[in-house]
Amino acid sequence: MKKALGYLVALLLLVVWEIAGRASDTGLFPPVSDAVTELASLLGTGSLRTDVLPSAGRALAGFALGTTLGALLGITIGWFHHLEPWVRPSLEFLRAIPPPAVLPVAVLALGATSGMRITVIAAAAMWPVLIAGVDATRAVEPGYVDVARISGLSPLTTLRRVILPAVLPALLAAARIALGLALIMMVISEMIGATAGLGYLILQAQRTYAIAQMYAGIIVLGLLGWLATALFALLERRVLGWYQDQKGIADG
Amino acid sequence: MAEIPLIRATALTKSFTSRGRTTRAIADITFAQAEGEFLGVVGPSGCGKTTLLRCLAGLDHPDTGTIEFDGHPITGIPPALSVVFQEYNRSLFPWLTTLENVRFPLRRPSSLGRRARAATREQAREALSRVGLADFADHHPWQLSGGMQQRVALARAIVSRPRLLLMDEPFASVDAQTRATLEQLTITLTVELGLTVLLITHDIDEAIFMSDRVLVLAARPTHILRELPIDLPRPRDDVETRALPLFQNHRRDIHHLLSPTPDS
Ligand SMILES: Nc1ncnc2c1ncn2[C@@H]1O[C@H](COP(=O)(O)OP(=O)(O)OP(=O)(O)O)[C@@H](O)[C@H]1O
Ligand SMILES: [Mg+2]
Repeated sequence: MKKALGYLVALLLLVVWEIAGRASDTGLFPPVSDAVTELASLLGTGSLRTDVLPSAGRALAGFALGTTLGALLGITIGWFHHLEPWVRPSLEFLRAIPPPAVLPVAVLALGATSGMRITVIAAAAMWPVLIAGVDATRAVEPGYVDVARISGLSPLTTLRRVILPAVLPALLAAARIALGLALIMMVISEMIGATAGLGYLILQAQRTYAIAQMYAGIIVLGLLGWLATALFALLERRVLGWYQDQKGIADG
Repeated sequence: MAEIPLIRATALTKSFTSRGRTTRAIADITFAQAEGEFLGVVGPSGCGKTTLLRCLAGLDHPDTGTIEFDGHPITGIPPALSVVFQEYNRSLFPWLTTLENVRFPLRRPSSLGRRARAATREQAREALSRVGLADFADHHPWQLSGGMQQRVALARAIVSRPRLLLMDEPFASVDAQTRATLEQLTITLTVELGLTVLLITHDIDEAIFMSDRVLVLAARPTHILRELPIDLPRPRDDVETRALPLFQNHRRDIHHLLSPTPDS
């Protein structure tokens, strides 16, 4: 019932957009129907294959790379915690740099390539997971490690069978934040030296006053973010079902 | 046969230093435990019981002194040893079902075939049914009561058929009724599996009721005040045994030993 109401509100907002768009005569704020028509024609001309999918692919690759690296580094630093005083100041400094600031450096170093864009997405997605990994690993119940030792597990097996499942809830919560950052960096990275991609599409549409097309791109972005979040929730449910049940976290 | 004790501790000492302050936990502990013997260790709260257990298990190193397992000085954790820890909620893995928790200590090299893996599952199932939790194999620990969780911890401790079972105040955080049931269950398992158990507790009655011999520890820094053989007949009964004059005598003795040094 509440869910249906939520959709009704969304629909209402769309209607408001439509009316406001029709009332406006500056041409800078087209009605939603124009944006949707533009969206359909965009997809019809193969933009799905040339812009949307490559963008999504880069976001996914960067996200996967960054979160994996962040998890590995975070767990390692947390596990060998006498390492932490050595690396903490550098980490604090590096994580404080807003990710978009890395972009000019990356362009210089790697050129305006797909690899460069994946790298900056990964660099942004890495930090939340890395920091959460350090903290969660240090906070693992010492009793768990005692059980592993008494059971004769090697340190590597202990990492895999005890530490990893113990820190997974924290890692996934951080990965959710990283997902948002990855999408942001996907768009921003395509606004420099790009000839295709969603970010390029939106920027190009704005520059050429193809305002409806600009909004079409933004709608696609919204849909992409929504889809990514939904898929992520599905993944969380699969690997963290025990955690959600224990904490009484209901999905939906 | 009983010449070599299963475990022998000689002149153990242990202190902790944190932030420049040194706490002496163990002043001097020497004792031996024969195979098949049920040894109780009582001592006031905070006297160093857990510290002693961690040293015996090889989880911590004593500052001085030696520990021999089966006649050999220990280097690390003896493989034929298992532990029931003081706090079950910090020792059972919430992401595993009770069956997987119990199966956890069983070796599972990836080279093992499907049949060997199924065998470890059977072993875990058997241990679970010994503690009366066969029907809860697929539950997670947090879906069970405290007493049931401690049963799972017990099943996990016996699944590998250890030669020595160390228990650290295993029943301290359950109600009296559950406690009596768990004490009886532990005695039953000890007899059925021929276990050697070292039970740490601060409950004098529990120590007397379960043990063949009781070590009475002093307050921190701890040492052994007295070794007390408990010649109560077995099998022991929750009501009858506790009513025996000999039981009352033991209890009075231990109370007297411990009362001049109240909890710090
Ligand atoms: N890792 C540690 N670092 C510093 N001090 C410690 C550490 N472990 C134990 N101690 C100290 O050693 C003393 C004995 O602690 P221990 O846990 O062995 O007592 P206990 O007899 O098991 O107590 P309880 O009955 O409460 O379980 C305490 O004063 C405690 O503060
Ligand atoms: Mg203790």
